[in-house]
Amino acid sequence: MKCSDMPVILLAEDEPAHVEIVRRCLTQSAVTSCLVHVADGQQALNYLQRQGRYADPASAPRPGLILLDLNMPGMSGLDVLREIKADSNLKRIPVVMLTTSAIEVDMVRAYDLHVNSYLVKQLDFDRFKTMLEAISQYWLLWNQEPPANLTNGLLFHA
Amino acid sequence: MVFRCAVLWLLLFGVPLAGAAEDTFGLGSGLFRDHAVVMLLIEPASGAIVDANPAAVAYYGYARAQLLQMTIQQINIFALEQVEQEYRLAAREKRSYFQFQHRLANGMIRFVDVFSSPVVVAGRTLLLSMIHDVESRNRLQASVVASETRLRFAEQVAKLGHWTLDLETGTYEFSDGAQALLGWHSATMDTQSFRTMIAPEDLPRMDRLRQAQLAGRADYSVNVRFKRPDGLLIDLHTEGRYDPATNTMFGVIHDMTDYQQALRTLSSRTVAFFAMMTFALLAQLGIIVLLVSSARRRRKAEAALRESKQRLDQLAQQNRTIVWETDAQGRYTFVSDVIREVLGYEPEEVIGQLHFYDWHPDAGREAFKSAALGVFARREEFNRQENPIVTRDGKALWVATSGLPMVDAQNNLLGYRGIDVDITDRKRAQFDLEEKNREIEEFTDIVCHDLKSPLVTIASFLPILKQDIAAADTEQIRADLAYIEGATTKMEQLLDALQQLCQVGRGKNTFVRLAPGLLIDDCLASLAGPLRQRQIRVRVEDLPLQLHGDALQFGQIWQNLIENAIKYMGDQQAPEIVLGVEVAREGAVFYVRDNGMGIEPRHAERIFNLFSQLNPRSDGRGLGLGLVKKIVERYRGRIWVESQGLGEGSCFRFTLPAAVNDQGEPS
Repeated sequence: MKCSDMPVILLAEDEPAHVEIVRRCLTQSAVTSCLVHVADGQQALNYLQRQGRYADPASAPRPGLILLDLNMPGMSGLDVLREIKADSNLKRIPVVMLTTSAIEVDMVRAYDLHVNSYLVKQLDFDRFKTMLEAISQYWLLWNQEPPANLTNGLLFHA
Repeated sequence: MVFRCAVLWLLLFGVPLAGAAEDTFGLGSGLFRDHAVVMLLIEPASGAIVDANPAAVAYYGYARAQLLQMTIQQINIFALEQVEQEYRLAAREKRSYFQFQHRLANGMIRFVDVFSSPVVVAGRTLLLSMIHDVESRNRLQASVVASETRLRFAEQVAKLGHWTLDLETGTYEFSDGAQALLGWHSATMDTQSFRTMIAPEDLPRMDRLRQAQLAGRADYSVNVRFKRPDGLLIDLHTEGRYDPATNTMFGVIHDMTDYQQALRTLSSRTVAFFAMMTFALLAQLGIIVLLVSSARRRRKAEAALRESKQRLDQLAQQNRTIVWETDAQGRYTFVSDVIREVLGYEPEEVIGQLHFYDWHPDAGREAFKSAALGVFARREEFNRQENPIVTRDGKALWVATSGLPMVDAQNNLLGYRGIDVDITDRKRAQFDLEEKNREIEEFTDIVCHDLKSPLVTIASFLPILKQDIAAADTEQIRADLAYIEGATTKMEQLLDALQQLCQVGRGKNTFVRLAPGLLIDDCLASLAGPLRQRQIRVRVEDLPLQLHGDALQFGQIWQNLIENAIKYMGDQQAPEIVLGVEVAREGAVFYVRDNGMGIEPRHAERIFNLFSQLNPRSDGRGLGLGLVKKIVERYRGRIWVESQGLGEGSCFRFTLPAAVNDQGEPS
């Protein structure tokens, strides 16, 4: 898949049908983006940390937005979120939970781990589409992200 | 005891059973007004309170005028059907009283025995209810245990006296209370003088009963007329026991004059009431006699004491009830021996050494101490306060504490006396229930989630399908339909599993006796497809026992465990499942062992939650194992998993005590 020149959205989702729904929504959205899909939490981390099959940076462009499902086999969405926010190299990438769960305790945990947004999957396809369009527009278009290698306002020379 | 007293009463007094005028009950009489027993007069149809005596006013804490505006339903916290249920229960147990709970003006709920009887007042049939607070009786009982001071205290409260008759010397010894009752200003009296003061016609009966008691044939419980030195004639009720160890008799006396006089003028109906009214009093007397005997015996002969003391102790031990007294600072001045069993301390280590708050767990002790000492400062009575305590060997228990302040004549606080009841079992049950509730909540949340997930798929793919139909994109249409189909299948599986889960515990199926081997064969037959596909070798070891219960549910246990083993086989090259049973300390332990993926020990507990979040998308693991757990628990068993970790295989073990030992119906 060629994602050059397009902002990348990384989607971690184990339910193939939901992947397809997100893909459809984004394809029909006004915001152009490139959807990269991984099927579980471990793969999401491998992608972000460029491990295993994602070792080549060209195969794993840095995403502008991460969409995380909550309930995935092995590493859950919350586990992935915790790892991302603890990784100085990744912690500024906006992470948005995208889940069917509207359970308070899940939301509280996600927010306590500094999630950037929490979205509940919509039953109505049009609403689903509107929601994803809005979130990708906000994070990919309007929101400003500092360069990845900047700390405390100073360029970090490593 | 109660019943015997009633019979005695009727036998001894030969009460006039027939027809005095019906309105002689006389509410204006001192009997209703002045009696210390709480009494209400109630209109039977409406429950309206027609009259209340001062004791009732004091007890309930309402003004009399207020009470007369109320109905008994406002006081009795039972609903109508509960009241009717209690009527039936009382009839079945042949009780002459009802056990209710009454709410006082201050909101406090008290356990009471209610003796009710119809009376005719001014041509109206009303219900006269005598309310006896069981809690204060229990407290009285606890507080008089084991010491002379406590006995004196009880005598004051109950307006009683007690006596000892030394059969060697023929000398009576009277307590202060007894001296006051008899109008006799000396602690001793010889038998001859005593006999001259008894009405001559009562003497033969008294002697007969005493002989019977000495021979151990009957209880000594007798009513005699006694002429006091000041000429006053009183009706005396006395109960006594013979102590062969010291060759003494000892007992309790009570002035029954008021009752006797009232009785002589009463109608047959009200006689029944008075018989009832004395029940409670006499029951109380009986308790005190027992306590007197215990106290007397201790002083006179330690050895002879054991038996009766043990009876009391056993009672306290059974209830795991510690009787205690503290000084005003909360330091123990007395604790009963039960403390050894409940807390593991010797009474000597506690008395004078420890404060009541020393048992409290470290966390929160200071707060507990200051709150409790605040109660002390206000001299408040407290009832069934639930506190955590720690035993000598560090075990955490719960006790319910009740206490009464002890004050001197100048209203200075001397200390508190009360009881601690071990309620750990009840507390534990309560915590279990809370845990179950949490589990159900979690279950509901996850069911919602897992039902919603396929629903999202269906709801989204329908409009997508429409778009693809419009575009006549056959390939996409086929894919869309496959997604929708997959989602409906998932929902169907989930609903099926839910239905199975709901049926556990309903026990609609009939109970049979069968060998588990047959069940396992059935399961293996139904799973033959997946087993062959994964080339899994199954070994069934000998299961030489019979199960008694619901065959369908037993089948579900093995079915789910085997399915689980297949699903989590991983990429094992020589997959194998072994089924069997072994005998352990807790009885037969069944096992289903595989050499598949295994499980991380930290997840070993969680997978049995009704719905585990470990892997919710793989249809069934959580639900299947949750179902198994529920069935196992229904047969009073437990289930657990052993695994060395990921890649090391798992062994599920479970017990089914109620099915194996044939203890009848599962819970």
